[in-house]
Amino acid sequence: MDKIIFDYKADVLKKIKQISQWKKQGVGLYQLSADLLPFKRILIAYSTILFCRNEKTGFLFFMATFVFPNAAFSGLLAAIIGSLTSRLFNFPNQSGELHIYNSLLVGLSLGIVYHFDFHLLSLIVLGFILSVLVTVTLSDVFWRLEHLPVLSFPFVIVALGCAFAAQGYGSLSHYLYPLAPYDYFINTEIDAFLTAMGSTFFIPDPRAGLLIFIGVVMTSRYLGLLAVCGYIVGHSLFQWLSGSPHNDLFLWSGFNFILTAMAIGGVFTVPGIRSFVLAMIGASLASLLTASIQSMMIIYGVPVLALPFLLTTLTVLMALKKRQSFSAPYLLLENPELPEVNYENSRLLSARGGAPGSIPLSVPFLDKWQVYQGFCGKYTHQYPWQYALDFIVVDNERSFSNDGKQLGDYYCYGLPVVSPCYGTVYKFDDSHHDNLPGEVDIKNNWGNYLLIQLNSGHFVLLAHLKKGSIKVFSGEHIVPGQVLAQCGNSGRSPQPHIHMHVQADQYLGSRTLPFHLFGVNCSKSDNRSTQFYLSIIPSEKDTVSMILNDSIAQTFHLPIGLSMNFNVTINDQQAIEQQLKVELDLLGQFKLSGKNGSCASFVEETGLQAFFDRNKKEDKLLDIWLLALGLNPTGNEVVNWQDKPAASLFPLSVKDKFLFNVFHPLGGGIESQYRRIKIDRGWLQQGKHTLQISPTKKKTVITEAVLELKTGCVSLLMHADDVRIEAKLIQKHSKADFGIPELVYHYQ
Amino acid sequence: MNNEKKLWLKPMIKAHKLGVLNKFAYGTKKEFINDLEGREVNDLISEYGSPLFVLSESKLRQNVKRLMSAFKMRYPKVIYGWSYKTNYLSSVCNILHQEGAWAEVVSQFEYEKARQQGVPAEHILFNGLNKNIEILKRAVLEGARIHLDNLDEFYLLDSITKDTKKNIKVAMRLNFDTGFSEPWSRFGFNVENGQALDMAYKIANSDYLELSGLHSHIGTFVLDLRAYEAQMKIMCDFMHSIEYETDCVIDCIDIGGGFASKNSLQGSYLTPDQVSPEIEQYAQIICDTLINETKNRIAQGKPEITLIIESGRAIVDDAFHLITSVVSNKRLKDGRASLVVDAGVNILFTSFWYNHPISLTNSPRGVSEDTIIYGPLCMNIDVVRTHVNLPPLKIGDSLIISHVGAYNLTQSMQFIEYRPNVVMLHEEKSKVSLIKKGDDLHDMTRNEYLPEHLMINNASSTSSVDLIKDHSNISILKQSSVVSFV
Repeated sequence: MDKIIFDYKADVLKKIKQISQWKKQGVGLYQLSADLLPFKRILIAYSTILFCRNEKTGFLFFMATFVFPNAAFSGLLAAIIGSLTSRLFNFPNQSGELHIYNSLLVGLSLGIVYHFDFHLLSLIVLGFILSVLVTVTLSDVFWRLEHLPVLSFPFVIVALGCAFAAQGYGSLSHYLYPLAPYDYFINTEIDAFLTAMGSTFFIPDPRAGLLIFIGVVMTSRYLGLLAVCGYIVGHSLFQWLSGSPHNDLFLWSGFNFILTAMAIGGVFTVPGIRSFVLAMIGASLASLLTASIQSMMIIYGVPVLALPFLLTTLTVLMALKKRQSFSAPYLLLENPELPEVNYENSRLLSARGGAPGSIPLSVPFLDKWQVYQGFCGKYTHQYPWQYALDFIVVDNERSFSNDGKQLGDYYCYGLPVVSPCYGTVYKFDDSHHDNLPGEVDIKNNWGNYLLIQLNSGHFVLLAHLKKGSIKVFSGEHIVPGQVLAQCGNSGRSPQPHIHMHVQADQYLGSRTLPFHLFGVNCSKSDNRSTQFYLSIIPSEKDTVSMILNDSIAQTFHLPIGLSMNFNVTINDQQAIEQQLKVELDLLGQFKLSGKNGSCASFVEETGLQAFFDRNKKEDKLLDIWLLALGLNPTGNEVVNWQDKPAASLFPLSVKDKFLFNVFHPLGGGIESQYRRIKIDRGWLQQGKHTLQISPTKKKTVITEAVLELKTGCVSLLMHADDVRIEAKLIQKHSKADFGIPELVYHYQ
Repeated sequence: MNNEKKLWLKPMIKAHKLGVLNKFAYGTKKEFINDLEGREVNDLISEYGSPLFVLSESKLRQNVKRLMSAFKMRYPKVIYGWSYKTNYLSSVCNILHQEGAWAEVVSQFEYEKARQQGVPAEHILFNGLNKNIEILKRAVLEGARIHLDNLDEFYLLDSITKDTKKNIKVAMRLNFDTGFSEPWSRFGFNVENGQALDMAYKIANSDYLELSGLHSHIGTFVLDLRAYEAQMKIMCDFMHSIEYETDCVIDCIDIGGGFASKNSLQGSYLTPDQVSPEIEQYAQIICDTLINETKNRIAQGKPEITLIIESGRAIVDDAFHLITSVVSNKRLKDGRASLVVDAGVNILFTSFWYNHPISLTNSPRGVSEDTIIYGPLCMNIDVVRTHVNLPPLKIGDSLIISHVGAYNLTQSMQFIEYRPNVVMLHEEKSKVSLIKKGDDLHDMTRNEYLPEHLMINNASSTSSVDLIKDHSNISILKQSSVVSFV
């Protein structure tokens, strides 16, 4: 059977898993970053302390530490030693330079308390090496435990250890004078916030804090927002409970609220209202923990360090992980990114791949059927069986011919039931008789059924099958589209139909789980036109039809090493020649790249080609390509479909861009409606893209792509009110390789 | 007062028959149809003349949709090829192409027509016995799907591909005995005597040909479903054996057509409703057998089979009606009633083997009796119907002959009479358009050339003057045809 289904979501998840697996093991990324200069890695480690991970921000943070040179040097030394240690013993290079950043923190924390001399040096060096070892060990333990990030846990352990050790070492008595708060920088409140910001790097100084805050805002405005809000919430609660401003404690521990809010609200969950609320709750909990840990630690004369942040964040994340069902806030433990990126990824994923946690299935039939009863249907699809679909065949609003008194009169009776998924036949029963129309058999509710175990461990139930019609056996591996049985009328079924649902365990009739149909044509009951959906939960009376792959797939196919030269004309100016290239990166991701390092990733699956992950480098041609050909179903009979590509692809003036950013701080999607028409030479794919810039302002652009059967895309056109860009294919060539000459194809 | 002139019947003596019901409980025809999809028959006649072929767009679309969904609901990969020979009116072909049908052609003309209709070559199934080198070359270059019929054709195709250095996939036509249908051994290669296997080897050993499809067509108006089951089994068995023997990979099986329409075969004892299987029944047996016979293919790493159907008659037969008018009444010497109508076997070739449904267009008056319907040709065999129970009809009264869509238009003869107009009733109500103009004198003579010495000086017809002017230098008589015989 043709693999009519493809599982975009599962594929993306698989890739993410794979990448994080590699990251964990240090494979791949080790090689990737081997060419980075050691100093660059150290800068990245600086920036990772505040989740930013880029060397420019790292440099700002690095500079900020020099407000207190003693700590700055100690920190730098720590980072260098940490990096050398990991190189010397070939420790896996953790993502975000984890071990460098942990030893860096140890360095900073010691450098702020003790005078930098040779005695301290020996303690520092040992501490740094220890922190590398602890990081390597703990990060693996945490990952295995719950896929949790180790964060700065190793630092806290080592720093506490060092602090206790230092108490016993007389030679380390060169305490520095306690840092006096910097008198007056902006105003008391803002100074307090900036000081807390600076104390992330153990530099409780508003000037350093300002520099750090600028670095954060530059990288991610949302992280900046979380930092401010987290601080305000944590700080207010702390003050409210303690009754008086407690400057000293704040000086050293205020950053805990900030970090907690940033981690929970932006980095490890998809930004949204619920995750924001949780972040604020996290900040409040951190403020509570700060007080309590402070009370405990003061006995031993050691600071609280980042303990409140760690305990709160890890507890919250672990608790979120224990939820049975998927709901906001969605966790991103495996591939945390900046909140803007997290938001964009999850927005595109849910626009294309259905709600998070919903299981994608293909249809259990061939051709076109109608939904008899949808989710939460009025007959039997009620809790705990609310997530189920029933299908029948309808012609002229009737499901039968003649008088409908015989089973054979029903259009769907005896039609093949096919597998909606990859999986294994878990168990089945086809010994029950088929009821006469109108009768039900409530003793054997599901009648003849087939229970399929998905590779994810969930189960799919197909029920009310025809007696003796099951063609597979237990344990047989099945593929989508494979004929399994025939539609019947057994069990609680007054007319022949197919019942399909997903359940969590293998017991018949156990609780159902949400799922959606994947890659189907559907015409809504209230609207005659048929539309292709990557994911849909059809409702009652919607007509759903399966999609088969078509010859158009080869038209869209972009083989590795292909490059296409286009003549690009902007508003009737002189044409410029530009190139798009297909590349494959080390991790197995196909990319279409343009000029200046601009690129976008894409996947080609049976039935679909989809682009995503456009980077920030500018290239008009690539943007038009992504708008016009960003999502290409390659099934036959696909005529209309929708997508929500990233707003950054939309051509906007500077003013509009500003407006958009104000109203959509996390970015957003374009409403794109596509249409494909068969023309003489091949196909014309038109797209209408609407972007809501502000609540009152909307803009629309039209794109057109002409595709020829063997050549692929030969021309692209985008026009809006004020701009018109046209690109015409001049030539295509495939890259030469050893033993393979370059092939050039001139178009027209 | 009713001014209408009453029907006068010649006095006659007729034996009384007790009761008017036969054993099927068919009594005297009382029902009549005076409109087709809301258009008055009389209006159609007055506008487009009689006889008149009437195509129902909605019925044709409905038929093809039903066929395609019957198969597609039972098997995922189905291609439907419209058999051009059944009816290649451009409107018919395009309606079907719009519904997703490919083209199944069997000659140079049909191939060229399909291409003219805008069918991409890769959607053309090229069958037939007579593929000349010119059209075969075109089909190869354009990438049509060629179905080999005989050894000579194989050698021709082999040499063409050697010349053009083009690799092509071909299918071969098989013939065999299903046990339930008449074996058509003149088409394709015989399976039982090893000819087909031999051919598979030959294709496997050729440089540019690759065998990828099997085709067979077990007959026409096949009423026994078991024939299709046997056909599919034999073809799948053959497929497995040649895949094993010659390492070819088959990806499509073309089972031809032959599905019965709801016409009544002459000599058939039962009514069409009782003997002709429904399309769904054909689909069920064919798809079930195919699924069972090929269920391990994916596991074996072989491609899933695409099922090709080429049914013609079952799609188009009942989408056409023929409106005809009574020219004269005649009482035969044995006392039987007979009618002469203006449509004969020249345009209703299938009346040689079918008893088409015939409907009145007015309420019947008088006593029905067994009637013979003759066509207008001066030929004894021009009988439209040998027995039909009809009431007495007036000159100018019309009849509707139904289920005439298959083969009649394509096999119609330019004999004695002008061929009639063909109109289409649109899906949107009240819209009718002419889709083929009837013949006129110009059509009848335009391909003729008249040598100079045969010209009659005072030729009155302007068209023949044109003819002479245009071709005055042609001395060879290209087509010998008699212009008139009075």
